[in-house]
Amino acid sequence: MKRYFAVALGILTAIGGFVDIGDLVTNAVVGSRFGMSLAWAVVVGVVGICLFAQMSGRVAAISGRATFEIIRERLGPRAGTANLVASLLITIMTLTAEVGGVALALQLASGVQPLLWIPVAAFAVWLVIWRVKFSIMENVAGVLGLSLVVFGVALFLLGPDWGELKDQALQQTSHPRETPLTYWYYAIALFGAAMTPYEVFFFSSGGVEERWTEKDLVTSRANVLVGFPLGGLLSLAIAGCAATVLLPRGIDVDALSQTVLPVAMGAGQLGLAIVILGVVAATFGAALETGLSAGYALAQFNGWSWGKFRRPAQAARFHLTIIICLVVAVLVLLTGIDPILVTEYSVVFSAVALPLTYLPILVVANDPQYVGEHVNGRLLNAVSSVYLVVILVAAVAAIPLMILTKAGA
Amino acid sequence: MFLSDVLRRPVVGPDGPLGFVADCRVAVDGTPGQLLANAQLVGLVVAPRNRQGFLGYERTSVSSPAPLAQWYERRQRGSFLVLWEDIESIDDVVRVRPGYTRWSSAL
Repeated sequence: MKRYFAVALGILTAIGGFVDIGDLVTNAVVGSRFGMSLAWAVVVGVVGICLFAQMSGRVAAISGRATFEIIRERLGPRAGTANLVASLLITIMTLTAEVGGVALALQLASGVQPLLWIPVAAFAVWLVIWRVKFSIMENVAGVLGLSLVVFGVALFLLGPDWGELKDQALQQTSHPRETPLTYWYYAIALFGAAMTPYEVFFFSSGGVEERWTEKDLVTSRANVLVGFPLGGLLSLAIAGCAATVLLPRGIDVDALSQTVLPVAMGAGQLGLAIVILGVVAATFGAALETGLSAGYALAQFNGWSWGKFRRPAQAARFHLTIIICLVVAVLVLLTGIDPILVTEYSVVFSAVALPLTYLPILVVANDPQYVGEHVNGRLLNAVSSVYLVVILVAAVAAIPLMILTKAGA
Repeated sequence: MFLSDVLRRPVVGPDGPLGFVADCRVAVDGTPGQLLANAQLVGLVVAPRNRQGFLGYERTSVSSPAPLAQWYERRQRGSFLVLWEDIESIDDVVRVRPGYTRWSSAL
């Protein structure tokens, strides 16, 4: 019974934890501009994150080593450092976006300016990371994040033309205002939003925090293979809401209020209250995860003691790293930069940095010295090799497309 | 001397350039310690073109996923192991003694 409960809870937190500010913003932007015609990119991203998280979770459970310990061991100091710097920069950028997202969501709830919420949000993130037990932190944020299911409810209540949404997704109807280049730019953005590297750092380090062993492989696999696809469905519901309400009216998404507007129209005041709770929980949860991931990455790479299972005094440099990253995020946001803009860039740079961590995990998931008999099977290797190509193409194409489309403008 | 200073240096034999130091080989058979014996340097792996390592694909027991394994196999083609006693000097370039032996670098 306890086991079923653990699996169910894991799945619920995986659904709630899947959606962060990147998914919220990117899916709404894409829905409002392209309808459902980029739904395939979400599907490709979800399958990718399932592969990646499943492999890194297995490596963590069997070898007891998290992602950056492996990167250091397999790539050596020079390539490893380049990898660390790139991954850390993306993670700090994502952390900045998430803290900004919390502030924007709190603004929706209170009417108080986001600039005033930013230090409060960052302080709360630090306090939770410092004080709250790992499992409680993860479960509370994940389960509250589930309130975002209201996007799905709102979509039904809006009563869209389902045939039209299906046609957009399958028949690739044309978009008179868009060019093929912006289409592909947003395909990469959606891919990066679904396959954010920090999710994998967090997932594998979380496995070590919770002392996974071989026995937990089934639970971890269920969390990934059920939770993430359901999270992906939630992403599609966000895009669907935008495609139904914003696209026909020609409304572009450049603020969080537009992302939740369809929910207010479909599910009324109650729906709006629930979706704001969901957005706060999802962005706050993701801010915890990205903050911890920055600490995990640097500490694991340098061989410092790390983890929330230790007291802060015993993992001082790990906690100091998190504090410094939070301070950087706050300083960046206090310049008045638009968090939505930071988000839009962070998902694309996520796609750029992805091969750096995907490749070593793929190699090690095939190495009997790390995972013993639990090496990748043939089918998994075939699919993950195809994904290596997809990830490389997306990473190489991302920056040129960003320049050519002026970041999707 | 640090190992990372030696890695990627060009290697020169008695008859001209041989390639670059791609990796090193150690054997854990030195003075017994608390957990493991001390590691002893056996030699350097020299690769004709490749300065980077092989991500573990130098081991014959690891051959999946196939595309990656084949890519790294191609990259390590022509690489060999030079024993430490066959190394003459190490400064900007690593010099190998005349009459050295090319050992297989596969594991």
